[in-house]
Amino acid sequence: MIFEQWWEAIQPALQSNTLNFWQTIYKEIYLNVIKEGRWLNYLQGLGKTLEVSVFAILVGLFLGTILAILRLPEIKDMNARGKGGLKQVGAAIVRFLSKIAGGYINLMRGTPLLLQVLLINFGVFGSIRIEKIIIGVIACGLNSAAYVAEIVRGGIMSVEKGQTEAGRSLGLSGFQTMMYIVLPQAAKSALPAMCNEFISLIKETSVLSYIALTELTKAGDYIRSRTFSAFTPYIVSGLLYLIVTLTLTTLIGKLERRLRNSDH
Amino acid sequence: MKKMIALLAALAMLCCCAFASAETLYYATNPEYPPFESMDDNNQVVGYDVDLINAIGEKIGIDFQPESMAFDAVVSSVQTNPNMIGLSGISITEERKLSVNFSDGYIDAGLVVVMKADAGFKTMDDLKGKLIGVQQGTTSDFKAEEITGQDNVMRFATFIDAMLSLQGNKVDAVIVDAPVGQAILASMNDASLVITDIDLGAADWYGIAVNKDNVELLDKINAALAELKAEGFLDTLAAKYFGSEE
Amino acid sequence: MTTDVIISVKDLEKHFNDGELKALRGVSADIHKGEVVVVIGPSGSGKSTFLRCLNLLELPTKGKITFEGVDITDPKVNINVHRQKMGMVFQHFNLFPHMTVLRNMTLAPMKLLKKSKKDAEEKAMGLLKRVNLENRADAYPSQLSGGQKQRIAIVRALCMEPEVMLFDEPTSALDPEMVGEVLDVMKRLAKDGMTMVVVTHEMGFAREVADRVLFMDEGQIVEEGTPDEIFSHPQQQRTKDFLNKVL
Repeated sequence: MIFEQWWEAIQPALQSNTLNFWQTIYKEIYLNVIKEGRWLNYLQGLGKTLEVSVFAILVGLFLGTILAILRLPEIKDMNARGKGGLKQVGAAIVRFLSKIAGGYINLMRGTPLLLQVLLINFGVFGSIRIEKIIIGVIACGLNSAAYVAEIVRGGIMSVEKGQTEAGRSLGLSGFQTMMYIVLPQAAKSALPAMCNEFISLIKETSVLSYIALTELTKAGDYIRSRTFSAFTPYIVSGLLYLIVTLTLTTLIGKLERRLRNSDH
Repeated sequence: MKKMIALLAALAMLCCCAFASAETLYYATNPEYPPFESMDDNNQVVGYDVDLINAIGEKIGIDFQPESMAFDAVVSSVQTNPNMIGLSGISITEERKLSVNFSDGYIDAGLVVVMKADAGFKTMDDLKGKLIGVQQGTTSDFKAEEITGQDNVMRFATFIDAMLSLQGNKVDAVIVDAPVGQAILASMNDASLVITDIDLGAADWYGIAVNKDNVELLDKINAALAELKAEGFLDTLAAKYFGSEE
Repeated sequence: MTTDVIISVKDLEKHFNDGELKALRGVSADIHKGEVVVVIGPSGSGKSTFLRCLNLLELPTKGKITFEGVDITDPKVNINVHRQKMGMVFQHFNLFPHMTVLRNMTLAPMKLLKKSKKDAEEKAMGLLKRVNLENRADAYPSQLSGGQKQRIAIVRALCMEPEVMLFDEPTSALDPEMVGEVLDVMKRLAKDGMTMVVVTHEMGFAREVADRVLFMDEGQIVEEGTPDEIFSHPQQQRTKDFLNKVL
């Protein structure tokens, strides 16, 4: 292998501690990326990061949309029509759920993700053996849901009231109007903020290294504890994060342009 | 105005203090590793290593001050800073020697396996394929990887996290430096956690890490260590921290 | 006449802000099948609120609305079913901007009348042809002029084959040169026998097309009658004042 030959070539300089600039760089790359197939460690870490992120985003989107709907003014102040006992109770339950949703959003946005991860790991799943990935998905998904909720709520509120009225006047139910008319328009206006949320979620999965999940940051940590390079593994991890987030930004940018072309 | 003058005077005094003993050096340490180094109730770093470096400092006329950091940052900060030494229960390994120089070893810590009392691990083979908790980057980490494979090692930031995860059934066993394991177990007070009889066959000498460019300091430290050994100071320290065992 | 009453409104009241603002203060009216009723009155008179109460876009505070014999103010009634038979056209068109014209028109029939895509599109294309917009079927609303948008909004409502059409100031948001094309469509609809309730400021349209004119002020129907009675021989002072201002 050419890499091994280069490594051999800088051995004399390494032994006598007289590496020049380029040799130092090669030494770092060799030790931190090439030796013993260490690049595989980064890729495995990246795999875990992506796995957690994708599922956490899905959890966040689903739960966040429900939270957002619960926080809409017409739900928050829901009043039953007429005096039917059951309907009154139903409306009271919905109002209560809306309050819970509000509290949940404040709680999740007001405390650090790291604390939530540690609490879920050591508290909720205190003495249960469970895949770290699942803990990661739950913790990051629950956290992201709170942010997604506010983004989606903003998106829904940005859709004109007339749209809902038009849908309802045709006979569509509230749910159908939400699904076919309001949410698609809300999604479009929420897309840029949502992109930001996805990107920060991907980066924030790095806190999962605290519960010994070997995601991308932890993979860099791991290499570092084997090679004692002060920062090179972090640069490699950082570059991989960058590749993922830039790809995501580009894709969402394209989607945004397509949506814009379709109706303006 | 008076207050201002008082403040300036105080600042001036601080500066004087800082410059008075020109021979102040810092040692990188991870004070989450009792009894070698931990924080006491007054936020001071205390422990075996602290007593040792202070004794060395007295011999060679240097005032050593601790600088706290994560364990896996200790060696790399020594590597990048010629005026920093590393003292944090660091095991001397061939791989680390690529990055820094080590003093002569000052204590053989050895590794032990901690498990739940009912787990019943008797030999090293029993640990194969089990989840083993360690502190990342320690000799325990390397040993665990050897035994159970890279993917089955759970690497935590501290041994305390590893122990807590064992307590919460998240790992099957913890490999840890013997004195540290004993100290943590003693303070956790959990009878369900026990040290096994498994002999990992690993001698584990701790050494002081010194920057490769500062050979002069390394020689001084080694000379002081030899003197302290001859004077019986190391035995005194062992007695102080590990009772009669050493 | 009572047999073919399609909408019957009795003592309708609508309050906003916990009764601070009384938009409707007891309105009663019957709409007959095939009839074109035009509601006029100064702004703030409650005429739009009245119209929006008819399909419960506004929930009445008091009173009763009967549609085809069913009291739709009863909470047990599924209003969605009845709204399918009451088409509504809004001042600001409210076309769905993320859908093509055709999809705007076929969404509700496919979801609610369970029409096949083919049937729904056939019906939609037929209606588009009637308003001379069949070539814009695949356009998005943002590519249309105001007048085109409102014509689409009308045929979108017609796709549901409603019994009644409600018009809420359909020409108020249009540039003057586009008012004519929309009114033409409405006139044709009236001629075809559609039951219509129209809130408008177009007095010419009221005079020409209406079977009956309601004049509303301060949340009440002040005067009602044939266009000739209202416009040529108003009885009430408030009606006369209003007509003097707008004519």
